[in-house]
Amino acid sequence: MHHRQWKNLFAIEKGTAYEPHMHNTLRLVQEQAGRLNSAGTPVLSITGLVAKQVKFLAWKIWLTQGMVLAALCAVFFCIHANNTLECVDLYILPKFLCGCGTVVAMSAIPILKRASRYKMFELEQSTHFAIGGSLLSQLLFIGIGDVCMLTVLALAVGRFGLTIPVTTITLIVPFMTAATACIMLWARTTPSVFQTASVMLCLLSSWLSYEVIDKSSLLQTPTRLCLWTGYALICIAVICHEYHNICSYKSVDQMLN
Amino acid sequence: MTREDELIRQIKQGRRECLNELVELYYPVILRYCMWHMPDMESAQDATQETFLKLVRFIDRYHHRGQFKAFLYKIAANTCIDIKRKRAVPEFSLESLPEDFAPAEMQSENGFQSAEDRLQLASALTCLDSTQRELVLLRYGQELSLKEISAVTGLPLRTVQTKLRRAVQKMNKSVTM
Repeated sequence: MHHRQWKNLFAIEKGTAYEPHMHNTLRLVQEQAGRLNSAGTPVLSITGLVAKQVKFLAWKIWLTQGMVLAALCAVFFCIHANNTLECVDLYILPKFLCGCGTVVAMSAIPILKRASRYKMFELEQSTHFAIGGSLLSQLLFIGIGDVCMLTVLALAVGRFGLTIPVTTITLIVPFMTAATACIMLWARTTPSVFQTASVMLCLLSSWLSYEVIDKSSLLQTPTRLCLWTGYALICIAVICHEYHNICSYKSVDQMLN
Repeated sequence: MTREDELIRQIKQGRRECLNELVELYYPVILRYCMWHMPDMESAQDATQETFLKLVRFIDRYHHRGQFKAFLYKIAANTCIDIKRKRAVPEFSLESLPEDFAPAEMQSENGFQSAEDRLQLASALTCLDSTQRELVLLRYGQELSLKEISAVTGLPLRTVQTKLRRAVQKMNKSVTM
């Protein structure tokens, strides 16, 4: 059969008497619109959502990250107390910082896992924000905590002989790698798989990062800095791309289901 | 700017009376879509009504980028699925075309011809999988363009073209057998 023949076969009577039911629908639509208007719920902006979330969610995230930071600092000072030679510190410190960078990124895994498990429906229902706004607010709090943790760690090890570029690279590179891996897994896996897969991937990335950083120490400092700055920017671009994908693919479906 | 763009802009500014015009604009096409997916006219009307009520609930969260039709069809599709699940309606069968469904051109012909065409159409549709059936209904039943179908279903344009071509080949084969 020709295309036009199929089209004719599918043609439905357009004069079907739907007007009575349509008028009824219009009446219900106006009632619904009136109810939504009179509910008096003010429209919440993203900054309003973030401000509200500080009271409910942010302090929990920062408390968790604070405990992780305290544990890392305790481990560091134990290692330092046991080592009498400074050269040992200089050997252990880059490895330790690589591990710290990864652990800082991994501190977000339980929070993201919970967000993935319940798809933030409870937040969405109360704030009428789709997944994009809810996720952004959580990532913002996690990011603030992470920056504080990395800064404290950098200051803690600062007086033990490592240069600023080395400290920055050994902290930031594993952190960005682990964070990128986590967000990519979040977007692509189920909650049950996410936690285990992200922990394993973060540990792997920590080891890989250290090996690559160690090899890159052969390069000149400016070259090394350019290389790792470019790498960090790529990671940021990937994270933004993944966030955009999460909002695009999940927002309509979650809004309507 | 089309009339639809203007209406959505005004609705978002708080002019809820424009909802009436928007509903009147899309009611016949959504009803037709629901008629393809529901077993009888009553269920189709219920699904259509629920679609527009959901539209009112979600329109504040909708960011207009010229894909309102896709957004509305998505609501209609999900509504039909929800109602079918609640009422345990089978996916698609020869009996699933609504009783009062009748192609326009067949209205004036004798009853035997229209019944035969109805059976032919239902038979052709049953040989398709759910995705192909949906594409065929959107293309021939709802007369959407391939680009619009791609926006509604979320499939890439090339995939829509390929699947549609295969679906039509299957339907032609079932008709000639």
